Amino acid sequence: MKSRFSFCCKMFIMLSFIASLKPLAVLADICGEPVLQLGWFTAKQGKSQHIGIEGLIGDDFSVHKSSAQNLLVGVGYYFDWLDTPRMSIQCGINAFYLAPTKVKGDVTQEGLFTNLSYHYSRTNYPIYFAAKALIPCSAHYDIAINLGIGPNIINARSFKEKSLDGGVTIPDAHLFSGKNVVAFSATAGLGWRINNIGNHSLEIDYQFFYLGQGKLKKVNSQLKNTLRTGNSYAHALFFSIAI
Amino acid sequence: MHMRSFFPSLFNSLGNFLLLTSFCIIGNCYAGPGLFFNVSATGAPTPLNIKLALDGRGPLSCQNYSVNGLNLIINTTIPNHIYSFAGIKIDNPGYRVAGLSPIKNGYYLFSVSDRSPASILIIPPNPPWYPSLEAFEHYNSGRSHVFPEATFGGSYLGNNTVDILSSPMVYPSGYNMAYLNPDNIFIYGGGYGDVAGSVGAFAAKVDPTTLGPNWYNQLINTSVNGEWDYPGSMGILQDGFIYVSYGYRLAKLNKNGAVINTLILPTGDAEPQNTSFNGFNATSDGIIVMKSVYRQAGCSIQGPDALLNCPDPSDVPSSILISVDPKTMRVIDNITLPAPVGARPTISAFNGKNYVYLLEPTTAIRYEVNGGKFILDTSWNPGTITLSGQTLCTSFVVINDWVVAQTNTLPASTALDVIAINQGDASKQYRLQPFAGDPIPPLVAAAFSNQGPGGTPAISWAPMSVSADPENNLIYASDSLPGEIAAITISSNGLQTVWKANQTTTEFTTLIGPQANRVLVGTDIPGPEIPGNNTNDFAVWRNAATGQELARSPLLPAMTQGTMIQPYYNGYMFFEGQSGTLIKLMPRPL
Repeated sequence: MKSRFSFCCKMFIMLSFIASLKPLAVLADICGEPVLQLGWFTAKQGKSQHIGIEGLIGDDFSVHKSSAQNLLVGVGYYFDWLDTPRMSIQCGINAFYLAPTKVKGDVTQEGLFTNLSYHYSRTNYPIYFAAKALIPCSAHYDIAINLGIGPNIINARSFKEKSLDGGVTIPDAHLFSGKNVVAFSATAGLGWRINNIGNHSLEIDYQFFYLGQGKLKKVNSQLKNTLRTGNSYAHALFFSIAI
Repeated sequence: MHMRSFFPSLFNSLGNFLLLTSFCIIGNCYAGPGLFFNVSATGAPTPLNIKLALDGRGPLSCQNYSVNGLNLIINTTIPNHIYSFAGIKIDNPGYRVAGLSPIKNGYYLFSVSDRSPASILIIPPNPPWYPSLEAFEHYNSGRSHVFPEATFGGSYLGNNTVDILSSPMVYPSGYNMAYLNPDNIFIYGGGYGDVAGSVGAFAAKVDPTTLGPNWYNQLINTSVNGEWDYPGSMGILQDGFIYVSYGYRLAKLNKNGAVINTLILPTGDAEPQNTSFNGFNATSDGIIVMKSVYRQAGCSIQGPDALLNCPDPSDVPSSILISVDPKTMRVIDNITLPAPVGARPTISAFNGKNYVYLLEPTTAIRYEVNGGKFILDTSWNPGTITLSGQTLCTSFVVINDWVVAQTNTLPASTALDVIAINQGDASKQYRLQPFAGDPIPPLVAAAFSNQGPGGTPAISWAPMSVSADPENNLIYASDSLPGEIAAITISSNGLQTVWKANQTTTEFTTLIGPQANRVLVGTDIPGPEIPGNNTNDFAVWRNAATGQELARSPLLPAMTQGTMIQPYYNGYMFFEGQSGTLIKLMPRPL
């Protein structure tokens, strides 16, 4: 509850800040097309893995909740690159914020006893060098094809264990802490653009994201390896408003 | 890092999914919760909450366990893996693990596997004494003489030998030792002014390997000032400071031997130079309690001899009882007792109160100690407890609801009585003469032919108190003249002798080892020698339950009379030769 509230606050502050600068109007006056995006995504993430512990057999981390959904926010800026009667192509930068999603699973200790569960959260900040192809269908509608590659800043954090046996087994207090990792990311998608809504256009997009792999930071020197998030994929549906 | 196309990644994901599914089915996904350890607890029922970790350093893989006993046998449930740094942490305050030191996170580390169980002995708190193997002369304020952390280095089946290591003669009339840990061990002595070389109290730190002194602090030189040199004692309170009582002083030393403070104590109606506070005790809340004894005014005899050989040793004032706050080193209370009291004070926490028990010439009294103030408990009155021909009792020893003493501190013409008095009701008393009628060696009888009261032949002499094992409900009594020791059990039927053995000692006995394998250790004067004038001793280990002799040392020089073989770590013990030699006794199986 607290994290959702915190997230909403951050979003409000960020949007207020952006609005106060009136960047879109400024950018629109230059030459390109600012884009605001808002939607929803579902991500597949997490990875079953063995964590070796010095002196012990180690812990097996399984994943039983690898899918999670949350809000997506994007902001982009596109320049016209090619304009033909059959197709126009725009290039630009498009950054997204994929709000935190949780990975949940169980911990099987020493290969025998599933005494603990665990969870952590993952937040993605992909920034793409993006290309958008617009194929006109009519005077009012275009089909949009979106592509992008670029870095994704992955923040994995809030690792926590919980006892599954009524408190007999004590969650390990200090195993992993949060860590930011920059990974290769790519995106591709299709959209339906409605032009001439006032001075703007509205696009309804489906986009697939390859988000790469992040990891947590091991904070116990006896751990032989750290917990990785596994390669993550996301499917997103969102609205884009081009100003 | 490389980019994957959508379709290969889809196939990859599908492959991963199938692999994971197979893994889950074959592997551990269906494993349920389980315990890492099997723990069995024996010994005195004691509910404890403990944490056990497969690795105590992290700590990692920890579980909560509840046990009801102090002796734990622990093995793991995980096959074929040795956990070299398993850990145990005790949640109950004050409890600790024998022989181990906790690491920073509070865990004690040990090695264990499914086939090699670990044996863990938990030591209950012993307030107000420092948590070590020996911080007070008789382990606890109740003077049980049970040192639960000490072990026997030999085999319980017998067939043992005893190696010895002797120090230079630097610790004259060594009296007792106290430890912070195995490396920081201290000795007090010099209080037998009637022994050659003893010139007053000293405290020293002993190198446990060479037995030489790391530091040596001669606290007083009574051969110069003429003050009465009589044994006090040394103890370490929970604050880690070393307290030494000698003469009419109480000194507080740090572990480096520096005197932090010396308190000059009141001396009642006697001159300071004739006053000695023979040792001290302390309440569970840390108040030091001390009681005086006196040398007859005008008598210059030194050491314990003054109590026997001054012209009229009974011509002394009543003892005083004082309490001291060890933090401020100030006297809190100072009362005059009804009579001279020879035996050292014994303290028991009973029914939520701290009581100090004292033995007067023919009876016993107790005071409640409340915030350092003494309140006489007139409701506890055992009446006259000594018989005609018996001499005064040595210190009480607490065993569960009872306080137990034995008569005949001085040579007596009536057989020794072991007397048990109930702490809740002083009218409940049991007594037993375990050595009555037993023969006295002719040479000893001749030597004591006129040592009894009024010059009568003495048939009993017990300058030591009993030892008492509350977990096994056994009391150990000794009598130097018949040359016997006995184990006595206490029950609703009274006191009953369990076993007796021939062993002539003038020293206190020591109880070591776990409850199920308790070992009684004491000195044994060689046959032809006369107790009190002996020049040699043996150290003897016995099965405390049966009396069977387990080990015997080579012939040693005489021990400081009225002291005790000091337990040490690793199955070793220290023997304080009265001439100044400190001997490490190291029993081992042959």
